[in-house]
Amino acid sequence: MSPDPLVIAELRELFKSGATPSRLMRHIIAHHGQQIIPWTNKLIRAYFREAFGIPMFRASADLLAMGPEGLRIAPESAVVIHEMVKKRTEWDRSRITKAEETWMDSLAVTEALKQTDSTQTESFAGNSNWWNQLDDETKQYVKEMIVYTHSLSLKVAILSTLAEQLQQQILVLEDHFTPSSPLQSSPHPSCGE
Amino acid sequence: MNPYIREWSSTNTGTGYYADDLTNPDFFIEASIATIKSEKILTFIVRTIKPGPGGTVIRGKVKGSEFFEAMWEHFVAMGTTIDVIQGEWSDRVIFNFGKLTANLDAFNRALLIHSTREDAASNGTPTGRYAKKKLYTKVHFAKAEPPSQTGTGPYTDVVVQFRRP
Repeated sequence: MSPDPLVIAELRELFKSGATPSRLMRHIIAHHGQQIIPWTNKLIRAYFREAFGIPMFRASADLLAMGPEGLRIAPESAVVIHEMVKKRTEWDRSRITKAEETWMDSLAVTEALKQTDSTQTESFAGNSNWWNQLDDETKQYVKEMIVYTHSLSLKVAILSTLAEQLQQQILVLEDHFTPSSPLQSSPHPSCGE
Repeated sequence: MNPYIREWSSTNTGTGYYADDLTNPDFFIEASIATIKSEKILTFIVRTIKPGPGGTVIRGKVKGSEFFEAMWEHFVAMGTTIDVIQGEWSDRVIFNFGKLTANLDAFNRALLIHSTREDAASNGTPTGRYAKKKLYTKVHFAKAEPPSQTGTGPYTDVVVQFRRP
């Protein structure tokens, strides 16, 4: 069974609207029905490969069926979401045409991406005296530390933005189910009026 | 080829391969080849042991090296050229019954013995040894986190690439 192009498109749209990898896994399973676990996992990896360019998605479907233990895929999610955002130009044509804005276009994410990209190309202090006094091993360590720090900053920017996106969705649902919510703008006069 | 290897021929292609252990589908190899900047990069996961009751270890009938060899023969038969063998080693969860950290653990141990991390990756890990057997001995670290000033780790997240010199 190979990935269905329609499902691939749905997965991309879901991610752009704020779905996490566990939600995407559930979407794949829902589309293809219950299968034996190795087959399901193979299929999930195939979808992440085709939809987002993730070579080998490393979380298995059985984790989702474990109630709160489903949170065990969170460490993998943090890394995969980071990769999906970094590879967005490869899988999201609407980004090229700027046809729509998503949570990934937020200032926090775009700035962190720029910083990460520049880290990979900049010359690390060039010819400054202090840099030239370092031995090669230390230079290498400093370079790796800067790249690592920027990579962590990007992960934080991505996850905090995604969390806020999900919070906004919760607010919409709260408004929908509790129309008298005090957070909702009220047609009635407030105190003091 | 080990007779316990069951190749999923109907889904195997020039860029994808899957085979499992006839006696237990929990043991398998899955490989994928992606083209990035004109290089064909092989990534794979292989699983040959899992925890058993009372702290024991259950082993399949197929060794990791045998799965790797079967995969390699498949891609050779398909006429696929492989420029890079890529190892992605991390301590993140992959299965409900445990982590797949054989390479990462071996790498961190090897760092204490070998003079460079390139040597440790090439000679001290299962993937490194499979790659070396196929003459992919040039080692490049695309990622080795967290950074280690002495280069001895321990690392929790490594992406290492093996190429032919």
